Amino acid sequence: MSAPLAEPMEAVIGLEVHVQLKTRTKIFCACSAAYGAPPNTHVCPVCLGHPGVLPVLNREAVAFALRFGLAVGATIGERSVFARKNYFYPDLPKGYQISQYETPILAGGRVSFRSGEGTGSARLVRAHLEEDAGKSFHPEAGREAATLVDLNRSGVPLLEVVSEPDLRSADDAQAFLERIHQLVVYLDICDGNLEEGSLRCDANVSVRPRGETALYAKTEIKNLNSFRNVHRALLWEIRRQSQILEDGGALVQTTRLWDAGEGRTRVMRTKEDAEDYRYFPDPDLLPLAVDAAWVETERARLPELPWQVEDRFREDYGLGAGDAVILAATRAGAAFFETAARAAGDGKAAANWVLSEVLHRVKTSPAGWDGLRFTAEHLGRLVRAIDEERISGKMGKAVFAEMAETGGDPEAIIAARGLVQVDDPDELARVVEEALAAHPGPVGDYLGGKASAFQFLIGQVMRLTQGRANPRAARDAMEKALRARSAGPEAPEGGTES
Amino acid sequence: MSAIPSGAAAIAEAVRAGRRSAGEILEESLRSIDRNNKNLNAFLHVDSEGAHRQAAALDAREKNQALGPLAGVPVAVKDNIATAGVPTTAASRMLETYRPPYDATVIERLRDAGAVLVGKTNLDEFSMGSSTENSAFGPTRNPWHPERVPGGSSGGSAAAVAAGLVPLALGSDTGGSIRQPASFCGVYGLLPTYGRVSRYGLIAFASSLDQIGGFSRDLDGLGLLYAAIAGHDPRDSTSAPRPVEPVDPERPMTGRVGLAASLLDWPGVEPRVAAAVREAAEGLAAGGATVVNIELPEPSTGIAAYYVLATAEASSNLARYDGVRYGLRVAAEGLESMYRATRSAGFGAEVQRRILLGTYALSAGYHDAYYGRAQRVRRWIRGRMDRVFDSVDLVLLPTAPTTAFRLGEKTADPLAMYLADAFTVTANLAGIPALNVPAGTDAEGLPVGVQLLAPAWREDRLLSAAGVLDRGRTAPLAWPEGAR
Amino acid sequence: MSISRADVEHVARLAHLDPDPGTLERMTRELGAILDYMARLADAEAEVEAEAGEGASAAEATVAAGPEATPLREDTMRPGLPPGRATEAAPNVAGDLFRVPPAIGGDAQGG
Repeated sequence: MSAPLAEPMEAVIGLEVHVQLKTRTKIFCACSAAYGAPPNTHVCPVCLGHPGVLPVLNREAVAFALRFGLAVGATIGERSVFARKNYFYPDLPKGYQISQYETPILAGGRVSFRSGEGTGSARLVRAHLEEDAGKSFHPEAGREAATLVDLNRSGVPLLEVVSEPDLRSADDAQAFLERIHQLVVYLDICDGNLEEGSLRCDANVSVRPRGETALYAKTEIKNLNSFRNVHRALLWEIRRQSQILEDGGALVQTTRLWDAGEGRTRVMRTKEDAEDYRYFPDPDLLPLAVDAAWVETERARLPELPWQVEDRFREDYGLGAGDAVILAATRAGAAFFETAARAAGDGKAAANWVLSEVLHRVKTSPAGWDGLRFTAEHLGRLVRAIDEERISGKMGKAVFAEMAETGGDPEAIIAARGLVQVDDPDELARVVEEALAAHPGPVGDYLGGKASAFQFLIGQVMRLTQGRANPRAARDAMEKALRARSAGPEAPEGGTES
Repeated sequence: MSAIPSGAAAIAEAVRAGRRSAGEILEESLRSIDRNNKNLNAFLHVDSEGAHRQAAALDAREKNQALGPLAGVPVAVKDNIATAGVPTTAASRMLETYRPPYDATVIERLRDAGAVLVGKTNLDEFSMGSSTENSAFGPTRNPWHPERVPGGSSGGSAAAVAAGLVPLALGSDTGGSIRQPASFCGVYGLLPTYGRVSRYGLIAFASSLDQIGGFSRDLDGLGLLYAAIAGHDPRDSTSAPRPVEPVDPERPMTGRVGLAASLLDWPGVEPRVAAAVREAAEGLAAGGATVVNIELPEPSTGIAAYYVLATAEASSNLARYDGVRYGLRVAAEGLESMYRATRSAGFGAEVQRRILLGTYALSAGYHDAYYGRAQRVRRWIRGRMDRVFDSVDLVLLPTAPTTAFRLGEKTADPLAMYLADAFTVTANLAGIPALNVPAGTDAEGLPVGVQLLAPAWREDRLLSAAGVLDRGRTAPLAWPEGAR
Repeated sequence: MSISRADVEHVARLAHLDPDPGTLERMTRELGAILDYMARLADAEAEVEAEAGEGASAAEATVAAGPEATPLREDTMRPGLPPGRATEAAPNVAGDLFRVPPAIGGDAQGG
């Protein structure tokens, strides 16, 4: 038997992202949608699925969906329909989930993301509103095995975003997901808290020989709850499927779960035992009507979008693409940078400070940007002081360190520590003379041709001025003094250049 | 002591005026129930304690404190309507011990109107049936004849009013469940326009067809009940945000009445029923209306569409009964076994049959042939009824093809039972209001009813026409022997 | 268009019902008769299409006589059930959580 040639394989990936909308109340009842309450305390007869209850749609959930749709360029449905997805599970109180099926609120759209050195994008098929289920726990195995159910989450609004299978690698899939995450936080429609399950992802992945256009049997991987797990699961699954195809086998459509502990996917069910959801329009709700006026109201509420901020940072402040992306990562960070840049009058310098000194502090503090003891305005003025050479860069670092520790206006700190730069030529000339007098050896070295002695002597000037000497002025003074020395003790004052 | 006034209007007036106490009115009702319920099984639960509290609160009111339009009137509630803390079983083992943590909107409104809710009445399990024989807690007997059914699914409420146990009762109607038992028991039964009365708190059978309505021996009482419960409810998304026009049985009916004459020849229509409809046509004409012949859609089409849609919605609405959060649970090793054991034990045969039918109609491969098709046919029926009402103001037809049949007569053949709804499903499919008007009795002493249909939101026309018929009666309505 | 016993078994599984063999037999017969009656829907539909020629999709199936579009609710919280109330009437609880037997083998896996 001859083995087929191992052809280069192409991965074909689509993602379904469930975004938990941060409305105050649930989608179909007035219970709090907040996370973290004691079990079964944010519930009412409606979200518990008691006999006789009825759903009433939360306006804000729709508004959030509209903002998302506008941001990704989706077509907004003037009339969309809620449908029942019928299946049994202990955390699904009514035995059906109210979702949208044939006629979703959003259709189409596109999301771009960083791919390698450039950008990639993926089209969206649709996005629709639906209610979340509760949470099930499976604490024990064996004889005491049971499933425990908390219905606090039952009824929280979700926006399910479905991409076309346009993604071609685990890297791109992760970048796409990260962009969605960034966008929904920017839009303030989701708190983006992955540990709390605010964003959940299912991936559909298949492989095929590169160059083919038909779709092979896909695997659905469910409930990937971190960017890293999405990446790992996709890599593993792509490898698994490629291996099967290379060995001449056939792929079967399955649904699998990612086992993070074992680092592999496991079969949940095959196509044969797939559920028949028997979708039909929910007769307890009427179609959702969205008119042009409402769309415009939401359009006016859109913030500047992440890619718009990135573009503007590159154009207005001359930043490189990579730096612009990092600074635009969050609205808080972008606003901070921009305020600092304006106060500094120097975007590039402000960017460097934010990137090198501020970001890591924000990342490591539980309070994030709110935990900083200084404002962007403060940082900007510090940068300006350095730019205007009122203090040296080294002094600037010291001021910053104090600002970060105890807060405070940079001008005040500079004044308090007497850190204003020394750049008066007469004073510097005096200090230079003091330094030269104290170190005749290095002077002789320099005059004998050892250039590195110059730095040593400058260092002494810095030490004598407690670092406050303006570096350029100090160099000028030093050069002048050394020229005078090299011309000989008999040389007249103000001797000619040698 | 003079007799307790009869009729809700008279009772409320007497209580408001202070001539009678709510307490004594209640006592009368409870005594009546106590005497008769063993035989009738109209009530599944009598809330004596709660009713006494309500009556006492009314009687304790200050001299110049106004009481509502139903002050002191005892009202029975079909047991598929949620009453907080009081058993609400839908006549099913599944909910045998269930007490809702909330009140249905109609219950709140009745209390606000001053009504005294005395108890919960029997029904076909989850409203699925036309005889109340599908109750898990025994059938209700027709007060006119103990071997006859009271009709269904609101048989308990119809019987309670016919037997004089209460002057008013709430029911629900999905395919005839108020009108047909009203006809079998000889009382008025009103199905309001879909969206007129809140469904919040009504245990759902078929969401796009269910409506709450009521029973009364007289039109004034019916009008009061309707006015108390009708009107927009923000908790029900299908509830219409429109004002409730007043109804007045005294107002004459001089418009055009369409008589569905061909239905009188439909197979199975008893001669006495056909005769009652023709007499009603004459009565309306005498009252100033113009009666013309009209054609309605073929009843079997409506029945087929109705049973596909109703069972499809029901199969989904009853999925919540899974033994997890409330109601019956049959213990089992695994989750799926628990679901199956619980639902198989909790639901009676008719309910299981309809769930299977509805699931099938929605299932992959059959969805369009059944559910999709039935929706299209329903839309067509609506359109037909719109056109009918372009040319007439009311439609007159039988309520049921027969008078009350015997207990056990139709239980062996589900399809035969379904066909009893031939004339009632049209109103639910079209979302229009309809009224059963009692029209005397047949040779065996069993009540006969006739049905009026009106366009959406025109309940006023129904009551006006019924008023004409009532004033034209040659003899006043009679009540079963032994009843008040 | 009759229904087979296998069909009824399949539908019973979807509906999470478990009729005993005798009931299954009877249901198959009864459902068959009922579905045969429902087949007249096909004739009715042909009549409908001949009359009008409109092809509305089942997706737009809001046939209520009420308001045209679904009403919207403000995003304002109202307190629900007090703590403990939700699980009060539950058949089986573990503290404040609903308790059910575990899914075994190919049991319900959720959507």
